Parts: sequence; structure tokens; C-alpha cells
Amino acid sequence: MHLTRRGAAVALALALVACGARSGLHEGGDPPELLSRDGVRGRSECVTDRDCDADACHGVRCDLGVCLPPRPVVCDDHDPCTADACDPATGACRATRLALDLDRDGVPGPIAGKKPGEPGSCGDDCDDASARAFPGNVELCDGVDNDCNGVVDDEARFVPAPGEAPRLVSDPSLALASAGGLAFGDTSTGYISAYSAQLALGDTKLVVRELSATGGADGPPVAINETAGDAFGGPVVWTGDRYGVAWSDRRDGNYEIYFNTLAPDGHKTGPDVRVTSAPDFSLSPTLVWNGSTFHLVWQDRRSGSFELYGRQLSLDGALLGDEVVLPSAGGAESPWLAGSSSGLALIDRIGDSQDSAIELRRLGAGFVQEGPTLLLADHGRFEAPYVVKNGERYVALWVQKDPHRVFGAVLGPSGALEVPATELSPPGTQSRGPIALPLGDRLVLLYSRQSADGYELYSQPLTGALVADGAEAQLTSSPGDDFAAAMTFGAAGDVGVLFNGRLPDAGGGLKSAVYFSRLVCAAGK
Amino acid sequence: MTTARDGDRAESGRAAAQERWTRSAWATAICLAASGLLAAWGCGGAVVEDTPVPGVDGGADARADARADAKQPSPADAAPDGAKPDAGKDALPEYVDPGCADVPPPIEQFECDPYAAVNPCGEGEGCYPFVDTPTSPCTPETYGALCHSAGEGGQGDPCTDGCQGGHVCVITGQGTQCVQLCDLSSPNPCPDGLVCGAVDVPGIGGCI
Repeated sequence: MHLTRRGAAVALALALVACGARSGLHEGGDPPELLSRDGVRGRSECVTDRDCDADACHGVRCDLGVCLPPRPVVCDDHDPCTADACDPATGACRATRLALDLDRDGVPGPIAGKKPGEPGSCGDDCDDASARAFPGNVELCDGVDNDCNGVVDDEARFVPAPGEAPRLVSDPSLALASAGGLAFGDTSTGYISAYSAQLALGDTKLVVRELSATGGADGPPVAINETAGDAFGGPVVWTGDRYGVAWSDRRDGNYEIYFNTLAPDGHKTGPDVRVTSAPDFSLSPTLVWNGSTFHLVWQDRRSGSFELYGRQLSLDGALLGDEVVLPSAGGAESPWLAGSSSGLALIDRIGDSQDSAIELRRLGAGFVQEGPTLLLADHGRFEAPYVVKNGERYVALWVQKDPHRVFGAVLGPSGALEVPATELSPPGTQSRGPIALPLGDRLVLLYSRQSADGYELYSQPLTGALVADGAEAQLTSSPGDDFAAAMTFGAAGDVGVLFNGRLPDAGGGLKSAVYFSRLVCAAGK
Repeated sequence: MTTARDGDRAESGRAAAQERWTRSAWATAICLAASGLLAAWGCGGAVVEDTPVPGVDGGADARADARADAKQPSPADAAPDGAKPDAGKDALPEYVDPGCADVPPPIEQFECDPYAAVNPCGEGEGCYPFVDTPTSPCTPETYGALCHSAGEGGQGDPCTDGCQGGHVCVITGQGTQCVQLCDLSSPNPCPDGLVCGAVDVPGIGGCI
């Protein structure tokens, strides 16, 4: 301060007047002429800047007892993504970012009306509501576009869990092991696998084995059928508190269909339920739990040529209603059933070994057909029909032979064919044994492709329209052929796969064996 | 070559097997036993089947019918320990496992070796594997190989005209078809694209 003593006295007097004005001492009188925020209307004497009755941003200051004309503070940091303002208390400029980081992941989202990353958007967080998504983040398999490159779970592929080799499920001392089915209960029970294996010469039994969800110790194998005669199977499904399993079994001279329910530890809950009792073979059971009943379909030659039959069973395994014949154009085999409480879809193969077709139909309650039967492929040599429910759609898979190639098609919610027959395996390869895991809007295809050492397992992510969506992953690499039999979600989004492989035998050759592999999702580059 | 372990049973089984061959031109449709390959594969794989031949009385179906008729046992016959047998197709009470603790081993009847390059079979004949399944829950099956006049079907052909020597007729979920016999322990014994899968005759594999 550089006030003179006289000036200070005057200023003090004026200040008192001014203070009196603020305190109402001058009510009824003329107010002192003060500086307004709009500019100068007059001059007042002052002692400090505050006496000039202006905030610091207007640049009014008291100099030698006189309020000088304002010199407003101009705040502009030349950043279009900030709102600049002067602090009235200090006169300092403050820049406030226009784009907010609501999810506090360190990257702001765009300002209103702009898209992430576009000019003037001031923010490139593609999802400012999720701290798991921001540019530069590592892509994970979590249904989120973690790295904000516009693709959810891009390059996602299912690969063997790190450090986990395929687990041998079948007893190495047994011959002719063949995978049947796999279901996941919960994290405490893990998986149940079903496979057939030759316990003694001429006595192939259906065996179930509990498998740890996380690679821990597996349970002991438990034979399901206690009778003589081969048994093969079986699809396994989880209901929420128990498993259902079906198989074909020739304990009575020709193959019949049997069913039972299993406790979470894999032990039978009661006697086997004989589902068929008919002349000739009943084979290839396929099983779905729709939330209230088991739906079981199989191929049956009781009337001279194979036809498809269906039967419902209760949660307790009681047969419900009558057997239902599911009509086909003739010679229907290899049924595969998929669905949920909202309905079912059945795929099968008709014809003989040289001239065949793949047909798909939707079924409602009681196996009542809904809509027409669709011929997905016709007049060729086909095998391995398979169908899976993917969201509101059904995805059908099959193999066309000579050479073996995997095809797929998508049936829409209305029953219309949304994606016609599309080749899914790489051209020029021998590819067989397709199954799939539905992800809702996408799916994971698992199939086997021939190499110099035999068929190896591959996984390929696909979009809902059956377009490759990410990198293929090779799952096995071993002498002999590997073919997947079943695949299901396990704990925490990982995937269990039961597959047939080969095992060195005592004679230096190879024997068939059943393996389990746990896959995890890996995404990004 | 006959390797029956039990003389009486073998002779009895042999007669039955010869009977089945007499009644049908093809004694096979075998169940292929490797389900993973084909998702839904016969009885989990492929079944050796009795293939009916047009014009020949009594094919697989006739035999199966006869078996089915013959196999309806009395409760006492098929239900030890009070177990109840199945009641038939119209009413199927719960099946009770009889618990066959001491099932005799299968009866082997090998008149020839289906894998041998040279067989004792006559001219125009081939050596074909077969299996006769047990007709009651606790009796063993009979399996082996017998000489029979060769058919015409090669790899992948329907069995309607029989199968060439070195092949076997199987149910694979793709109609009955002739498939080339293969050695299950070999790493890659089949033509390109095909794999060797077990059938439901012990020790026998077919290229699928």
C-alpha cells in the first residue's frame, strides 16, 4: 500500500460512510456513489480493493484511495474442451473440463451431442458408465468393449486354461472308451461326464464320472447299467438339482432306450427307467430339460426303417404321456434336440448313405410340430446333424462329405431361415464333428480338422450370422483323432469340453480314450 | 478259426449263428461305438447289423421280432431278487437292474479272421464279423466272424447289396453302410478323411 497519511484519513472517512451505507445508516439519504459490476458510474474513495465493491475478476482495484476503472480478467486457455472461468475470490482463471469421467476410469466420455473420439467430442471413452471400457484398456471376454475399438470381446477365442493339460476321464485300463455327454451342475458339484467303455470283453457299460469344475480331483467312475450287454450313451442334462441321463442298451437282446436321474455326485437316484420296448434297435437318444420336463427323442426301427420317436419324462423320471412318432420323409436318423421352455428344435438326417438330406423342425409342448419342416441340405452325403438354441434363434450344424466340410444355418424366431446353408470350415480341409456353445448374440463352434497326425480340435468364434468373429484356436495336438462330444459352460464363464482322443496302449499302438478340457476365453490381440 | 471258450455254449451259439446267417444274407449291422465323431452316432457309434436282403425271408427285422417275442420272460425268469421286468411298450414300470454279478464272458465264434489276407472261406466268400446279443439281462453275448458269400458294397455304400470282403455293414446314423475294416490300434488306417471307429463287436473297427 502506498497511501499517504492524508489520503488514508480521507479514505477511512469515506469507508465509514460506505460501511454506513451497507449497514443502512444512510437510509433515506442519497446512497454513496459506488462502482457497479457493470462498469464505472462514478468514483469512490477506497482503502482496499474490496472497498471498490467488485470481485477480483473485474480487475477493479483501489489505488491511492481511488477505485480505478475495471480491467476484467479474461480467462481462455484455448482448449475447446474446457469451460474457463475466473474465480471471483482470487481473480484466478479456472478451466473446467466439459467432458466428464463419470465412471472414473481416467478417460472422459464425449460431450453431449458428440460421439466418442470424434472432433470436438472432448472425450473418447466409449462407455463412460463402465470403468471396464476405455481406450488403451486390455480386451477381455466379458461382453464389454474394453479397449473401445468398437468390437465387443474382439478376437475372443476359447483356449485351454493356462497350465491345464487335457484330463484323462476314462480309466486307462479300459478299452473302447467313447464320450457321451457332459453337463455342469454348479461350482460345488462341478461337471458330470458320461461315456461308454468296455469293462470286460463284450461288456461295454455306460459310466459317469464327476469332474472338478476347476481342475481339482475328479470323482470315481460309476457304472450306470449293471446288466450284461453293451450300453452306449448318453446325453446328460442338469435340471437344477439333479442330472438326467439317457442311453441305449442291449441288455435285453436289442438296443432299447433307458433313462435315469443322477444325484449331483453322479449316483443313480433310482432304478433305470426303460423307455422303449419294441422290436429291433432303438438308438441315439437326445435329451433336453425344458424347465419342467425331460424331452427325449431317439431313432427307432421297430416298424422296419428308422423313425424318430419322442417321449417326455417328469423330473423324477416317470414316463409321461405316450410315445410320439415324429414323422419324416423316411429313414430318419441321428436326431439332435435343443431348446428350452420356449420351445424345441429337432434336427435329423434322412435318406440312405448315398443320398440324404438334413431336416430341421420346431416343436412345441408334447412334441407338436410348429411350422414346416425345413430341408437345410438335400441330395448329398451328410452326417452329424446338430442344433443349438442361441438366444431366440436356432443354429443348425452338419457335415457334408466328400470331402468332409462343416456347414451351418440359422433359424430365426419366426421359424424363417435367416442364414441359409453356409460353409463354416476352412476350404480345402477335411472337417467333421461340429458342436457349438451358444453365447446369445454369438456362438463358439467346436469341430475337428484333419492334420498329418489325425483330426485335431479347433474352436472358432462366430457371429450370430455365422461369420468368423475372431481368431481360431487349436485345442489339441496329439497323435490320433480328437473329436468333441459335448461342450457346456462351467464356473465363471469357462467352458468344459468332453472329447474322444487316443491314448498309447501297451502294444505300442493307440487306444480310444475320453478326455476333458477346460477352456477359458482370451480376447484382444 | 474258432476260439470258443466254452464248448457247449460255443456249439450252441455256433448253431444259432449259422441259423442267423442262413436266414439272412448279411449277418451284420453293427453299432459304431464312437459317438464324438458324429454327434449322434447310432448307439453312440455304429452297430453291426443284420442287413435284410430283398427277397430273402427273415432278415434282421424278422429275427428281431422273433427275439422280441421270445424275450418276454416271466417275472420269475428275468427278475431275480424280486425285480420286475419291463411290462411292454404300453406300460413301462420302472426297470429294476437285476444286478448281474457273474455274467459269463462272451462266447467267441471265429470261423475265420476278418483281418487276415488269406482266409479259409470259400471262393466268392468273405469273412464277416457278427454279434449275437444276449436275450436276457444276465447272459453273455456271442460274437465272432463267419464266412459268407461276398456282397458288392464298398466303402460308404448302402448294405442293400451286401458288403465286399474286408468290409462290415454298420448302423452309423447315416443309413446302413458298408465300411472297411480297420485296426483300432493303428494311428491312421483309413482312407483320407475317415477315421477308424469301434463297432459293437469286440476288437473290430470300421472306417467311418
